[in-house]
Amino acid sequence: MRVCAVIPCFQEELRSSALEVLTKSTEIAASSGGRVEAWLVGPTAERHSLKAAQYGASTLRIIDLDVDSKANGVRVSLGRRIVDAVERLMSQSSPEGANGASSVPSTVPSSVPSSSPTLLLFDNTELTKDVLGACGARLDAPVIADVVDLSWDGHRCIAQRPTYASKVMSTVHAEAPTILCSIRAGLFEPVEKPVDAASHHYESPKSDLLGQVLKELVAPDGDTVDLTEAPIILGVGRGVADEAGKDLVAKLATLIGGEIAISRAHFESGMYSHTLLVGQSGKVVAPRLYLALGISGSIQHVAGMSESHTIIAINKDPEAPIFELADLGIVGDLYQILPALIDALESTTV
Amino acid sequence: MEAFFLYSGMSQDRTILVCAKETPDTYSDLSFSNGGVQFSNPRPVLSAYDASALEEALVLSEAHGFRVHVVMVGPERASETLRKALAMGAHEATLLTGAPEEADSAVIAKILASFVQQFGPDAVIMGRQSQDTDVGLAGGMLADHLNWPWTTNAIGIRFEEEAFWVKRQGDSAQEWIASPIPCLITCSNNLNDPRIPTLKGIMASKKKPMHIEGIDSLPGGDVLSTLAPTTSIESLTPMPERAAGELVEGDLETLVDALKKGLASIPETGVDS
Repeated sequence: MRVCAVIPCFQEELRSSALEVLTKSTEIAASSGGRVEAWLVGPTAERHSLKAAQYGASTLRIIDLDVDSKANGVRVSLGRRIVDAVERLMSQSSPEGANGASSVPSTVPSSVPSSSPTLLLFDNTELTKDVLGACGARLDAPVIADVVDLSWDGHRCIAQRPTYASKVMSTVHAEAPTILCSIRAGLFEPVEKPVDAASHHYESPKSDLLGQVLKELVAPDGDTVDLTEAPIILGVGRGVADEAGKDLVAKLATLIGGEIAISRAHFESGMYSHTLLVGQSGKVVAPRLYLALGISGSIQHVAGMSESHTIIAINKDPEAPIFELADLGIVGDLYQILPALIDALESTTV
Repeated sequence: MEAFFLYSGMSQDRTILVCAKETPDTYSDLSFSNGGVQFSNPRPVLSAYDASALEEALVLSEAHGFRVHVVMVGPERASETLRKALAMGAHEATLLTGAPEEADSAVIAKILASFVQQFGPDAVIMGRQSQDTDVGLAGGMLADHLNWPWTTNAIGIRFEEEAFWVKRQGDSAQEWIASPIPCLITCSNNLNDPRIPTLKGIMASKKKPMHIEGIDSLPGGDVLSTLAPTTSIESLTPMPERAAGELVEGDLETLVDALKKGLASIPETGVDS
């Protein structure tokens, strides 16, 4: 089968979630005797093509969207442009629909027999969530969103995705000539697999934005943390109650190279930016380490971090539900433990 | 008709359509039986994200005089959940029956698209995902079928100069995006705290219009009633449990030592053991 890693390119660096998508694409292609394409869409598409080949994509399809980007890394109301670009790549790259591909050289290999299906793999960032449904509708193809595992059995795509507030694993099947799927970030270790790649450039579609405009970009404190990319996250809950606690957490974050996230308690407190919310209604993350500080572990929060590789929790209450999923649980007062830990770390790292 | 239409200077036919779904109460306890899932609370609820969408539509209605109409695809018993939406303050509701029980987002979006095209609201506002499956596709699918501008994951909405301004939570920042009507907005449940129906609201809801329509009566209904889902749920199983971890209690030194060791086991922290 043809496996296409769809990669929106709006940042200087290729996101690690994109590398995960490439790695998973390579794995599925290998098991199904297919090949991997990278669909690079956005103003930095060209720049990321080398990296895509380094991670196993032998065909690179590039649309350099001419975007009036106001700030690095931030989407400027791009939904329709991405959907239009995906539609164009689909119609101009599939063997059946290759007509009218003015910018495509006629030597594009059409080694994929028409009976062979195409799988489009996406990451699950907010940027992707914004366009995935629309892409599915546009291509009239089934979509399976936010999966934690995915395979191909020769006929069907078989995916696993957490459901019912992450209390149930649902196994979903799809069988169609084209299938779209988004994978949860942080679960698949990117593996390099350099290949010789052929690049094909496509003209940017002239999207009708239907009058939609970006009015203002709100980047809190000039800070644009992307939690789904962070290998270490310090989750801050109700137990961090004041500025002194906030300072301690910030200090620890600097020492261990972590990013700060919040639970619902701090969505209301005003102490942190709302962008940092982790949970069913916020970001869904799966970092190497999730350090839960004064987080009780409500269902809604756990749904956003239960796939973390390692969870360490500090909480005063030995009955806190967070301890049920923590690899290491520390029962105690943050306001005593954090200063002592910071001292200990500072004395060994200097 | 409600008094505010008289002094808001707007005609009463401006409408926000809220697309809603009823889901099991996923915050109640669940158990597995016959490959399915049973919840301890047998009563379905209005999906939390759709409740936020409805709340925001009601706030916009109070400020600008929109009529709020709620539509739901579901079985006849879902009219009970729709009645709750009317009790919260929606003016009118439509239940679309006859969709296959295992309908996925793609099927629902096609049914809703037909209804919206016939109905012609100024905006569609709905949850960014449903509380049970957390899929989050129907909004984008519907917008593309309608060829409308859309904005997802709203954490703030205002109506200005014939456009909906939506504060969208992105990956690393927020943005204000303005879309002229008609447009589609999907809501985070961090947008607001949905109101609890008052007794007066509950009484009033009994007199509000609720239409129950088969999807076969919609434009293109012959096709809609034969739509088959393109994705299927093959099984529901308990989440693999994480192995029980170590719980450390004791004096400060013990706790800090355990923490330091824990951090040192993760190379990315740069902590030495």
